[in-house]
Amino acid sequence: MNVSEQHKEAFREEAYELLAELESALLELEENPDDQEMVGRTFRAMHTIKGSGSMFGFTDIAEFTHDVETVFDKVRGGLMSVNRELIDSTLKSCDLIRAMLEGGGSVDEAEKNRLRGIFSALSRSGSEQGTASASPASAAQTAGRSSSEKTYRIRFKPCREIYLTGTDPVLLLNELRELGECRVVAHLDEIPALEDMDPERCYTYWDCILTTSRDENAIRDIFIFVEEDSELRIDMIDESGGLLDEPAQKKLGEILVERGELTPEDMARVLQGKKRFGELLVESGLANPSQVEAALAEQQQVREVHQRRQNSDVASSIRVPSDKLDILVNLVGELVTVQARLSQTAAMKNDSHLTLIAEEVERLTSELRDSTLNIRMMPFGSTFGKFKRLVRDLSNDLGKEVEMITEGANTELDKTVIERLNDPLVHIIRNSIDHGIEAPEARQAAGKPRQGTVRLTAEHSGDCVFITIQDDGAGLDKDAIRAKAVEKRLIPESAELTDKELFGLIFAPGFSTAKKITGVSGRGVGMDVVKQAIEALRGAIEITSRKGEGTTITIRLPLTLAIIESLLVKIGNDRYVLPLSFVEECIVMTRKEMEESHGKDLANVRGHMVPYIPLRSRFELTGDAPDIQQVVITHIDGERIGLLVDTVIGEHQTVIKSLGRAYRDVHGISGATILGDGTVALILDIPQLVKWG
Amino acid sequence: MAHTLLIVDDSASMRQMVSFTLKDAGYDVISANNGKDALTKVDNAKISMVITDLNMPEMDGIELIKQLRGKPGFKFIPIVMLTTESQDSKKLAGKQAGASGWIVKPFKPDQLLDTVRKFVK
Amino acid sequence: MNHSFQSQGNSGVLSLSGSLTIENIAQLKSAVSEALQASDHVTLDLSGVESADICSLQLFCSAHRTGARSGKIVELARAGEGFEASVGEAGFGRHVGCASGNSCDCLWIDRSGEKAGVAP
Repeated sequence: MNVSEQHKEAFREEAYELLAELESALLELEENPDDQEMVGRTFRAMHTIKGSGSMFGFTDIAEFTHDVETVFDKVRGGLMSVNRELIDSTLKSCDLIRAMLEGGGSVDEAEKNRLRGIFSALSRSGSEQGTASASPASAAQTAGRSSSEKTYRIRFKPCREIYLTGTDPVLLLNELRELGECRVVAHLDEIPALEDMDPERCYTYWDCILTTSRDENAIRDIFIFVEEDSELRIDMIDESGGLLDEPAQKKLGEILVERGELTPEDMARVLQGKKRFGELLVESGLANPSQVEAALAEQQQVREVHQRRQNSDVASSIRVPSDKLDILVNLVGELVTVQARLSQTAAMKNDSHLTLIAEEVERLTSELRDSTLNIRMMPFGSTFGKFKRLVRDLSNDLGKEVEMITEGANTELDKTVIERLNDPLVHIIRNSIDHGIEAPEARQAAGKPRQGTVRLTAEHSGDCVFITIQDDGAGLDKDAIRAKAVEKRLIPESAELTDKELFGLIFAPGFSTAKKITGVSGRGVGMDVVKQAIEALRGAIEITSRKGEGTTITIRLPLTLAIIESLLVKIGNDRYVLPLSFVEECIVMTRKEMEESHGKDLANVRGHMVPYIPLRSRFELTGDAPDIQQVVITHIDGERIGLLVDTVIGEHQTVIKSLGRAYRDVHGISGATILGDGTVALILDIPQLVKWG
Repeated sequence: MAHTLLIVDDSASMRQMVSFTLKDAGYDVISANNGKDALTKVDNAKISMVITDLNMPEMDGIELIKQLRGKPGFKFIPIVMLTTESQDSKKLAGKQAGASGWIVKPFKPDQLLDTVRKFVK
Repeated sequence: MNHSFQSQGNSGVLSLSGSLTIENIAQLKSAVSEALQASDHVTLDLSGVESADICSLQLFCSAHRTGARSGKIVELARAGEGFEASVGEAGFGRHVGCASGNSCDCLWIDRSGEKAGVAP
């Protein structure tokens, strides 16, 4: 790729993001046509697409966008108002720009001309209907709140005998300085004359102004050994979350008054003079120099922190192509593997020096791993715009009234997970609107509001993320499902099923209850595909429903895909890895117990019989099993199923390697990993094993 | 010039762990088995800091702290006690005897070094 | 720590060297007191001082104030990097002098304290 191609690619990436942002702004705008911030955002996005487009040779995009930009400039200036038609046309323009970005003749020229006509007409007219009532968008809204730094004022007055307990206060001050930017001002006003002075005592005390991302406890910890005998006061005086437009910078006098070192009356009196305030205060004896000094330090530090914050808002993030991140994750993966080998070697050599180094490497590696994986995390909310658009378009097409509510925009998930989640979610939402939500009249007749709701939420729980899609539609029709399942011979006619089992049938291959095929839900490539996609992400999917009240689909996903916590087991000479998220417990199985179950492959877990898959015979391994084997009890779709292995070795951090094309059709194996001693272990795909077992 | 630290503990493995960690961080270390042993070893050395266990035969940590604080050259030296979680009363007695701080057992090498750096430049 | 005192008429120079620490603060105090008794203008020559702890800094401060009360002058001279760094670490540097003496001859005004007082 040459340089100009690289720039083009970068522009495409940027433009896709801008378009996504544009769409969500437009949808917001549709609900609140007077939202000036959204108008501003729309204008800016169009403006950037136009400007950068012409720079990188996308002249068609630049030309097309020109009139759209002009129109939103008018809206921004209050010369034109937002209405449904404008939003519609602009959304269609987004689609068109996307097509132009992709190139390759997918652009609908007729549509392009139609839209150009609309916008050029709007951009020429407009002014006559203007009411000029709306205020122009304010530029100040770009202000971010990137850092979580806080500024503290710490008053530390050690007991006079502090030196006699072997503590040097300077070392404590230096520890404070390690926490962040710190100004230290010593108060000298209690230092007595020579004849009254015991030189071994500490008459000095300090005010420290510290800006740090650590919390108050970290500050308190520094003084842990002296806190009891000293005076220690920690006040938070500035927070980065504070609004920038608030007059945050206090005047010197205000700081002193706030600290109770000066009365407001005195301040007013002194202010009538003309000299520098600090000098005046000292001269008039209202404040001592240390107090003024400390207040000055506070003033300056807060000012600098604010300054820096404003500067850093501009450059607090950088853009990196995602394949570079993938390379980084791969490298970290290799490193984790090598580190495991190092630890193992060190343990074998029994060399305490080497062990210490290995432990250090282990600590650093795990930090590196965590922060690398963290870089790949994206807020789930970045997809919300797309789904809102989907809901809007679908409900228009079907003549239904549907509102989408989203929650948990800040929930973070691995980038790859978010990407691969897209199709399943589209499918589920389509199903909800197509089959779930009733037509407005039908809803009214059932005593429900005309407008249906689809709620998309994401939330963290442990090392998992739960994503739920909930609608308040008609709910699943149990009889229809049952009839369909019998018809498709998925269950015998006499089967007695719980609700959960019944709903679970929806995920069976080839199942579809729609009485007719609509353009929306597709042709029965239904929920089984969704389930497979979720399981490929090592997740799980569940469905609950109440007739007449709605349906809820819950998806549970692991936070990341690259590295998993797992259980290492041994069968024969080979070792295998089981994802720990499926594992419930391990039990021991003697040869005698196995004989007692008469070849039924059932394990007795505290009185409950749990079926198990003997992996040794499943994998057709030669040789004899040991006398005592172990059963790993796993938990899949609410069922407990055991896996019989020779021995359980222990927990293991597994870097997932894909097996490549040749092994794609091997069932029951989802990948491989390299162990500390350099050998390969296969990662078992438990849901598949169970399905094919 | 490297600082010399005195570690006093009757457990050999504890002495070894502490002195290994400290030496690795660049300090010189003198070890002693108990309070009495420690007092015989400090006379000719310039000690920057003392780390002492509390429960020891012959002479316990509290008594050692008291005696050290009475010696010239130890008046302002940091003395840190190795305590266990449940020894709050001992901690108090140690402080009264003149201890500068404490480290709760079990501790990791990093915690030890963090505490040492609190007292020695 | 080492110290030596030389006087000429009403002024005297107290030369200090080494590390000024609490271990020898009593010694430092008597040296400073004697110098202040012997002369009206005491210059503390700090060229050989490698570091100074809080005890010695507050002792200088006290000497300055004590002198000012009876019209005597105490000043610091030829301070090296080590001393300045100690002043900075202890947070003694400042812009406005103390009201007890002659505010403009405060020992700590415009010392590098402010720079040294901020962690890098």
